[in-house]
Amino acid sequence: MLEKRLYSLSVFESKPMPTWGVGLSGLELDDLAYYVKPSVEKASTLSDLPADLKKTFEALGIPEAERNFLAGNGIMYQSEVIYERMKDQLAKQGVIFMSMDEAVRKYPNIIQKYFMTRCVPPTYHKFAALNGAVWSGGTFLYVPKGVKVSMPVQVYYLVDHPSMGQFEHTIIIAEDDASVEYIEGCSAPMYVKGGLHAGVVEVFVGRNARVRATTIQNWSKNMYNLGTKRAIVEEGGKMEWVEASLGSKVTMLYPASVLAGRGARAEHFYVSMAGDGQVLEAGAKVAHAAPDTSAYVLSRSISKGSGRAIYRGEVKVNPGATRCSSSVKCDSLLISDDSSTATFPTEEVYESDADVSHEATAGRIAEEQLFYLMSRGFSEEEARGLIVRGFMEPVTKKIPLEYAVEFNKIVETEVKNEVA
Amino acid sequence: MTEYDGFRLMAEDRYKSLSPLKWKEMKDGRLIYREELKYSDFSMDFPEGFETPDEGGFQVKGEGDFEAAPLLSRVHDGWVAQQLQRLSEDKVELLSLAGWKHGYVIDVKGGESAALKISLVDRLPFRLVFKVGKGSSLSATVVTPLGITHEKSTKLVASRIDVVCESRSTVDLAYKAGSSPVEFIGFSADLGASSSLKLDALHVAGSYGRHFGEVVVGEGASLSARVAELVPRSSFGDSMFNVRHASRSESEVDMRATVLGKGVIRGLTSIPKDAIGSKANLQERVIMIGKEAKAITSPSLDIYEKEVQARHGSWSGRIGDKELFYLESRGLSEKEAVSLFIRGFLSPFERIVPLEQVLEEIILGRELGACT
Repeated sequence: MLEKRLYSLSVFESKPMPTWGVGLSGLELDDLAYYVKPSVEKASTLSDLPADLKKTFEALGIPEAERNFLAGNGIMYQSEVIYERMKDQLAKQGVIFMSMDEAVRKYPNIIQKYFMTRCVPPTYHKFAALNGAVWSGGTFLYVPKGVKVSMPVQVYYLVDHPSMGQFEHTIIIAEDDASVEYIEGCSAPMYVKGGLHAGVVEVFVGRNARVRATTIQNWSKNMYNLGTKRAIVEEGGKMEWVEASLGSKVTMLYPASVLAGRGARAEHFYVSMAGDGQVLEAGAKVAHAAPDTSAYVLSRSISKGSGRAIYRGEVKVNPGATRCSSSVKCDSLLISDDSSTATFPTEEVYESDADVSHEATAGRIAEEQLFYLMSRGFSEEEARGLIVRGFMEPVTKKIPLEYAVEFNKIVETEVKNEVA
Repeated sequence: MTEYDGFRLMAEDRYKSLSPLKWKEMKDGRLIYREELKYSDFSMDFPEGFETPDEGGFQVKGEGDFEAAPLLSRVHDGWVAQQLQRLSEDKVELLSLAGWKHGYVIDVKGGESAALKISLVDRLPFRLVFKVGKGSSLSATVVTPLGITHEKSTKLVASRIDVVCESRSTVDLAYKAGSSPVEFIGFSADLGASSSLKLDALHVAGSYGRHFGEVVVGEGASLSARVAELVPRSSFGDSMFNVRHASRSESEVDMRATVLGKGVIRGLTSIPKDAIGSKANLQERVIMIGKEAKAITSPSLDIYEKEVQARHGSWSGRIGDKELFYLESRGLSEKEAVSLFIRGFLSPFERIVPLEQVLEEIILGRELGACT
């Protein structure tokens, strides 16, 4: 692991800062704290956590979630995992759920095989290399062949330190015929100086396996969110990425799926709201690298205040990936006079029998829709809130209900405030 | 030194000041030129031997009230000078802005109307400038020589068509371009208030062909553009169409491509702040034929105003088996079925050039044997 870190550091230093997309000139890499030890010891139960943290997590609904519908639960605070727990029956089935730091010590052979090898190598881009050099925390989730984890596994990331860099590294492996749902939540309070989140998530979906990775992101609005997520999907496998994005000053995030086996499938769902001073750029990268693969991408973004929401995606059909199909749909809603949006999709098709399509719309809330609702007794605020919820519904219905309700509430409040 | 010499020197200085084109460029996060296009293989030197551009080269036939004159004879006109003085940071575009052999100006005075057919007699670089006065109308077809060659020539031919539409003018323009092995065509239009432009543009790629269009749609103006790209086998065609809106303007851009070689189809619709009430629709459709066909599509939107309606879409794929089966079951051979389908796909461009001839000689011909 030390060799890998040193190599990643050399790759990071050799690569220039990206000059495309959202500007990163405000990111002061030299001012960041790259490792912050949490002030608390690792806890074996949530009730063992200090009172202030317990209060935070209770407000987030984590204890209740753990009781009622999670198969596993983890918390990363600052740069370390301070809590992890999994239902006993899963451990008996061979499921492994632990912090990446612990997994490196306990399962070095497995980690060596999967950690930044073929999924996200350090050369992927500059911030993947940075993660490779300075990573800490994150999750190792392994589901053996044929095991279907019926309830989600969740990890919550909390950053509570000014100018901190958070570099969690997560690996999810679903062996053949396995299935699992993984949920990430992230938040950070606002400090004078923002930080950086450059996490990496590597997913390996075996033959006929299913993985759904959901992220609900609410970083502080002066934080840079430059994460990397990539999945390799084998024959018959299915990968679902679900992203709900509210926070950060700048987001550049492009979950990627490599459809490496015949019949593999990827579905990407993304919803975001970019408010004042925020530029949220996200998209999907799909590489069809085998025959009969398919992909579906749905993105819904809302821009309010001076916010800017951008979709930037790529669909590639490699030579030899015959009979592939891919459909991308991205829609943007502008609800303020100063908001803006952009869409930059690219489709590269190297097989003539592929069927690749893309469509996008951008505009404001339609007057007819507002009039219809207001004529049925809704106030303008209520009508706008309802329309926005409906706009996001195709994506939010993929999020676990408890989080979707919370997410919808936050968005509706933001919309109502904007109207007021 | 004539005014023209002044323009040429200005362009030449700018050309020399730009760094050499790399074969792979990134701009705004989008890869513009793929590895198939190696500029280093081309003769990109600023054209020599063009001391005085030719006054010939065009045949203009038409009726109505218009003036057609060699470009050189009109360089002292303010608006012509303005077109010629436009410089660029793009090395290739600079060639088309100044390195032309045949140049013509078509001027339709305010309130008048004209209908023209303009034919270019050879395959040398040309520059065509249209000005359509207030309240006037122009219908024009521009045709460059048919017949594509895959000869080894690497001399780059860069030509350009520019249109200035003053307020309330109406233009219906059709052109076919692309007849040299390495040919780049630039198109621009500046639509004044409440003017309208209907454009049908057909580009046939040679070994390397580039067809870039830019339109600024003024207040209350409307643009309806159909742009077709034909890319034979062993060819590379790069087609881009950018539209920038002012308030209450409309654009409908329909880009279609038939690709047997390598095709890049890109479009960008920009709606700046205060372009209130704008409507934009950009569609890209690519039919890929044969095992060698490869396509990159990239429709983009950049919107800074909420009171607009903007959408785009793209599709890449092949002719459906059902459609082919339907035609073949009615007695057509596979070649005839594909040809018929493509003719239907490109039917709006039949008015520019006989499509059957284009398809037989240039696109399908003997190459269809390997199309499936």
